[in-house]
Amino acid sequence: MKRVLTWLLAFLLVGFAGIRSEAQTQNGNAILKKVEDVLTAPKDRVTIMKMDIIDENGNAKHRQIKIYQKGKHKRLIRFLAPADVKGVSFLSLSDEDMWLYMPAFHKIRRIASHVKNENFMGTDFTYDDMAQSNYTKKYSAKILKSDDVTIVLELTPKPGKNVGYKKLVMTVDKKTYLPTRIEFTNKNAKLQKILTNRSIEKIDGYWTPKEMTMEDVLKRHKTVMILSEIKNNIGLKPLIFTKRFLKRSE
Amino acid sequence: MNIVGKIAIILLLSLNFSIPAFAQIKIGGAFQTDNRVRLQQDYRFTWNENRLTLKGETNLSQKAHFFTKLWIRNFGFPTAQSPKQLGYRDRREVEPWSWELREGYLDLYGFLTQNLDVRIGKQRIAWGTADKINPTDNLNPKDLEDPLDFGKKLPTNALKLSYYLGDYTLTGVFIPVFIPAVLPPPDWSFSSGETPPLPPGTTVKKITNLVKLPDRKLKTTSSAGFRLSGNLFNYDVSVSYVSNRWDMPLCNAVSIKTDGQTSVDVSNQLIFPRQQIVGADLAGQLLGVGIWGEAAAFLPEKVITTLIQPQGQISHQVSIDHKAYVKYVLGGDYTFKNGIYINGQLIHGFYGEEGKDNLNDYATLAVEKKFLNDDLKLRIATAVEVHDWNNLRENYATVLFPEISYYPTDAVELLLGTYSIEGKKNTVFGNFRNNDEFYVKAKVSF
Repeated sequence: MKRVLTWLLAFLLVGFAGIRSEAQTQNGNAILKKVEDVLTAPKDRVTIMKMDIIDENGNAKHRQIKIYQKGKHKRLIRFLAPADVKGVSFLSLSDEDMWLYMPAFHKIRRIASHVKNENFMGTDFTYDDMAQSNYTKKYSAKILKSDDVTIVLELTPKPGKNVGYKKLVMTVDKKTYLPTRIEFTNKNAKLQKILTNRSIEKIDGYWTPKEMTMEDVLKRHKTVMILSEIKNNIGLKPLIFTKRFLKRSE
Repeated sequence: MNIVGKIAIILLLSLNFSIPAFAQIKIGGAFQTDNRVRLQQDYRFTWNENRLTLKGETNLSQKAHFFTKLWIRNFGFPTAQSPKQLGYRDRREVEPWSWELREGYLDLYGFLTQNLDVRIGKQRIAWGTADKINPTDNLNPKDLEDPLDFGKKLPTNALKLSYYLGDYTLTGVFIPVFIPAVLPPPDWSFSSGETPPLPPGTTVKKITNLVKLPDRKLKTTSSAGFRLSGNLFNYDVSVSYVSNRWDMPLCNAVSIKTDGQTSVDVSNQLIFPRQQIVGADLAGQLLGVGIWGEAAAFLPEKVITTLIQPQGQISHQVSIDHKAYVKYVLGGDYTFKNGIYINGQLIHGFYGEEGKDNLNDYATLAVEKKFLNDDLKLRIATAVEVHDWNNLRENYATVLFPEISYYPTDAVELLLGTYSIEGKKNTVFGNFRNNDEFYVKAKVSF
């Protein structure tokens, strides 16, 4: 009898853990969805950002980019400065459809998947990072911990998804549902990069980080993006997210 | 002030306010310096260039854009032969300089209809998805001033219409006036080595080449092309058609005159035959590897070379037959997790090779890696040429291009590189096996 009760208790505990884990995963996915909705809340958005690429010795390179964003999937990024990269433009319509335009070659080049996980134009962001934030499509999330202020999610790639990381640990602010910190673990199980969002303000009714820092902890290198101009819901035309517009200058 | 004066002022003020303010023209460009020495000639300088590129552009409105690019160059070496030339104020014989309108065009977006863009002016029209060697890229003539800068073309005056329909783009191009290619410098010119049959016991005293450009008539000098491009199953695809002329001259008449002694003068007439080109290309990826393929079928007009001997005998030989030939490129690239990038291509028919029996096979491979937070890039590229697979040992050539690029700060690039050519004399590259060079370049963009 005692043995039966012991086994029953063990069975119940394992079952309960499984249910709790399942609930955590379901809640984690729901929270991730909420994060994604907050990140892509504006119907469209145009931002101009200043980018500082800082090496381990503190030497900095400066870039200026303009980002057009519409819905959850469409993004066009154009370099405005410095002169040697001005006009280089990147268009992302989906995970499979990304193109790069280099004015010096007068050509648009489709980006193959082997490039997507490479650093974008010398920054610490990959091409995939620069494309839209399709977290729910690529990752499953579960809650690691939760307190009054934040929820910490662990994101693992869904089967069959080509992502450059083994897992992400995302700290989400409970008030804004914006990620304040994301830790990227590479496929060798080492902490590779940390994204930090700071100076979060409400602009046009949308929570927006005014400063984003992507730090590569292994290379001791970081990219700081500072928002200098933002316009939300201005009715961006679909034309902007085409190869036709990719070749145009600002 | 009388009534006429008042009316004049009112009209002037109205006019002033009705004219759109001048759009702000953005000026930018680059300055670069390029020096090269030939290794087999005691490090003799072969290239001495300082080039200022000035770019100006403006969006006149949301529907119009203007762009221009100007080159101002100090290019060449002193050739002064008298003290007087050393004193000339502009010193052209000491520091040759030139300026060139490289590009200048007007863009009209949504012209007449929302889906139509028009570009008018001197422009570069780049077709094809392969890397540098593009069999379908035939609208602009080749610029062979720097022969190992593969794929360089000369912008030309053209009218380009681009009509956008969903994922597809239909492009039509009209080039009113034929512009020939820029030929390579004499020490990079490839001759087949064939000489016309000479009368016995004679040698060539002088060779004159006379270029016969097409008449400046619409039917003879103009060229046109169409291209339909789109997306199929995540591959960028296109098909194209071009009707134009060879941009490099072909000899169609040889006249040999004797001075009555043992020497002869040879006079060659060079023309630019017409051709039709049908092309196709695609680019995408397979199992994570970027792949591309590009092919073009060329159908030239038949060219018969007439040979006139000193005694008046005339013979004819078919130089180019009216038979189609195909050039193609297959390639792929991949970036490894350690950051090494490789790019390889197989090429049948290099640029400048024309005619079914004159196409050779080439393979190229480039390996690249960046260091020091992308401030330093090492690139090694190689090209292999094969003339005759049945006798590879006697029909091959190789070129090796190692290059170091360093970016010490934003918008500055320093390059050191060399090319080393080996091969048999009967190959294209092998003909230049004594042209190994080392170069230093610096560039600043602003």
